[in-house]
Amino acid sequence: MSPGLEREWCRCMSSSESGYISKVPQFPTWEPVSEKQLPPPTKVSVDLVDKLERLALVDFGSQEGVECLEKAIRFADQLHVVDTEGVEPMDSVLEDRVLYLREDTVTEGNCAEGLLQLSRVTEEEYFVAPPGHTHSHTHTHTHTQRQNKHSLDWHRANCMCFVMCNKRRDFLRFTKL
Amino acid sequence: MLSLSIKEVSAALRDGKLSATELCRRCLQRIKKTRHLNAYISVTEELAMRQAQEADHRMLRGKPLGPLDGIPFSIKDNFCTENVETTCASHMLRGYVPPFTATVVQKLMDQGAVLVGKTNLDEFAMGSGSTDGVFGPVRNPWSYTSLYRTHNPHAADPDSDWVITGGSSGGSAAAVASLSSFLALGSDTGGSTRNPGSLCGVVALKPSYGLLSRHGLIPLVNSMDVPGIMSRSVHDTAITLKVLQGVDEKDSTTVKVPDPPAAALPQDFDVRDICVGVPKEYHAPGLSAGTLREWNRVAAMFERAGAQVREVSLPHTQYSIVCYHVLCCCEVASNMARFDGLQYGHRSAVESSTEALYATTRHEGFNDVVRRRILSGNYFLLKQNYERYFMKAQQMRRLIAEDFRRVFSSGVDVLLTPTTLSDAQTYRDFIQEDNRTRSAQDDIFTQPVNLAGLPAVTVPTSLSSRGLPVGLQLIGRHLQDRKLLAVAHWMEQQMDFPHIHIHDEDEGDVEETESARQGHER
Repeated sequence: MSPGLEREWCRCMSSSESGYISKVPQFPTWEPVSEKQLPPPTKVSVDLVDKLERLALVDFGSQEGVECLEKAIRFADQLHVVDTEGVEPMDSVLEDRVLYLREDTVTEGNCAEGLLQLSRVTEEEYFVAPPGHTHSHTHTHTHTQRQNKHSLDWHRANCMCFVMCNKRRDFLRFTKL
Repeated sequence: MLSLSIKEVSAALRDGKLSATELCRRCLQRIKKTRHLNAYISVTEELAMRQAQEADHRMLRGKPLGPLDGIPFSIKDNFCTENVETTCASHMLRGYVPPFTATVVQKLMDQGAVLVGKTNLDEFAMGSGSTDGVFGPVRNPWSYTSLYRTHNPHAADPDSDWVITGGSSGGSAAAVASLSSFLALGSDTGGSTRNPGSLCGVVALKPSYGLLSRHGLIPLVNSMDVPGIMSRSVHDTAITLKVLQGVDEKDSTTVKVPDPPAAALPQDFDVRDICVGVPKEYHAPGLSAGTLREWNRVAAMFERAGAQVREVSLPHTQYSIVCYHVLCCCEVASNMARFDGLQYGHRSAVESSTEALYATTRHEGFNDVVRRRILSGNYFLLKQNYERYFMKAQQMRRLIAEDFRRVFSSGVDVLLTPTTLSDAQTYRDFIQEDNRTRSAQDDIFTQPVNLAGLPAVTVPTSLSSRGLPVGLQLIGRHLQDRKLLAVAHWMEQQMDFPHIHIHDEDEGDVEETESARQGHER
């Protein structure tokens, strides 16, 4: 049968007149959730915008960005149409099997140089970051130093990081590889 | 030559009818000729020629490595490759050259496959159009066929009336569809391999979660990401799957392959032994008449051939995309936290404080789409919202996985569904809506299997009335990827899906494509 004819024949097959009933439903089987099924819309406050920007370390950019979040929340609100009482949350599809664990031994390494090369700013074998918490942009040099001193104590206590003074400026140095 | 299947071209290489270097050169030429598609971010010409020469040496010694030896392939630019830039189509990773290679890419290279380039995508794979990356949108090769031009007299201007590839692995789909790669890797978190596969008329497999290693695939949503396989035939996909699957020490979520078989596809397949489920909820509002017609046609075809076909129900399908939206944003928020400018990638010049450096680096590095998903994720993860959104979505995830489990335990072997609502939209129409809205529409049939970890494959079935590809999706049981491909292979053989015939192509190529096609089919 030529492709054209076959297509024609199939069209007949799926029409009701031929007596053949397609297993494929011929009309949409559901409707989008309507507005009245949803809880009241969430308004994102200025305080919340601040908080999220601080947590996410990205900014909304504009009012449009905030509206976009409100729409994303509205979309997510459809979840509340379904009763999930007593359903165990699922975080992995492999929950029902034992996953492979390798021996806790070092099998590769000695790549500090290669990894450091990926960073834009390094000093000896350290990644370099500017001073830590600054609460305003108008702090004094002394203030920064004092803050770094705090960081120093804190980091020393954690045995991972320390601070060094650089002739050019203050740097808080992170994680030695 | 370029439109041959991997099986055929591999035989030609072994028989000495063709050299790997010649084949590689032809693919590189093809990449140059189809540059307007914007399918590739980087072309690894030197590396490819070197690998091809090595393949030729092995052929001469009569010791090819396997069925992929000498076969040109490409990968989405979110797989890490040692010494080759890996960008995720983002400013954040521009110029980033990873110190290691992703397991799946390494496995292909270890088999002698030849890497010709890294393909374009939506930034960090967030999108369904391949329109939202820093290197610009990918164009669907089918926009440039004579057929599309004649069916769409308004599409007179190829510079403005082209259609999108779908996404986010649009570059990989365009590369395979336009014959510059025999094989490409994409990634699939919510449909990113199958969606462009369907819109570009190629076979695209999302394997079972855990079957392929994710090591070196830059993560989007760890609990759903899988590497995807694109090629021009189911058999080629099966060969590739066989090479790529298996436990990887570097990815603790990989699982053992049940009884690794000798042949890529089962030899004793009989369609009459198969029960095909048609999930009624997949007739969603907005399904196009053309796609519905194909769904009818193929379901009838299975039935006529003796398969048992029955309507089944997956009652929570409608809410799947909502569940996916929340879980995706949450995992994105946490995954993207690694990009801070200190250890690799973009670093802002603002050095007033660590926080300022982080914030400006991330502002400059990420596009709106990525930033908005991060912010939404942080909102859903706030202490006061955690249960209301994140946990709720995880509960919904279980209901969706349960829907599938119930259907499969009732005796159904595979599910037959549409892959997308319709054929590809024009770029002009597509960008009228924002990324979130588009993803919600375009991932509607593809993301449920990511939530459930199941394998799914899209197979091109025909061209639409606009002359653009339409594909249908088959969904299988967890880790039964091979059986799924056996059904897909049978389905593919019943189709007469045409090879692409790009307008204005030089005569030599056109003839070659046509004659190859005659030899290729049946």
